[in-house]
Amino acid sequence: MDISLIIKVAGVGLLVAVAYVVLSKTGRDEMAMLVSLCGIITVLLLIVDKFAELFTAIKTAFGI
Amino acid sequence: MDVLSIAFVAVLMTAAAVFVKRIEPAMGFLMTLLCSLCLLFFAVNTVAEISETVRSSIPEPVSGYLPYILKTLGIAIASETAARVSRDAGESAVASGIELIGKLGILTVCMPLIKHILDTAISYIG
Repeated sequence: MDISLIIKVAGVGLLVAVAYVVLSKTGRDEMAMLVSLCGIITVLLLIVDKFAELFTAIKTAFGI
Repeated sequence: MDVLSIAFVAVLMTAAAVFVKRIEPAMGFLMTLLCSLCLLFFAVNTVAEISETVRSSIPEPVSGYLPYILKTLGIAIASETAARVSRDAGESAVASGIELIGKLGILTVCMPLIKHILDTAISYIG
């Protein structure tokens, strides 16, 4: 788990936020919702892997 | 990675998450969650190094209790982090449930120790 993942997720989050604001201001609300949903799913997919890695690390470090 | 750079990155991520949370709360929560996971990962690696040092330097009778201490510490760290993240997202009921499970887990892990203490106390009394 390193810095690049944090930067990636921060980048995706900011991009989705900006796209959401721009799209909803121009009146395309359903497109904005789809973009935000795609962003959330992308970030979730990135995170789930790290969750598993983290719990394995906790198990091996603490001997649970 | 040292503590300063980790703290710096965490603050940057928090700033980004606060900005995104105003527009899209779910995405902001996920960013906060990922930041907590990464920090927890670094903490776990640090604890692993510390426990190796402690295990090699403390004397024999006391070092038998080290696994209990480490397991308790691990359960406490994991459950507290999960509870705080849930509370940040506004789900305090889920957070309370996680804390309860953590406490019961610690009690379960320390049962042999408690039994040993009770047996010793009973042998002194009876």
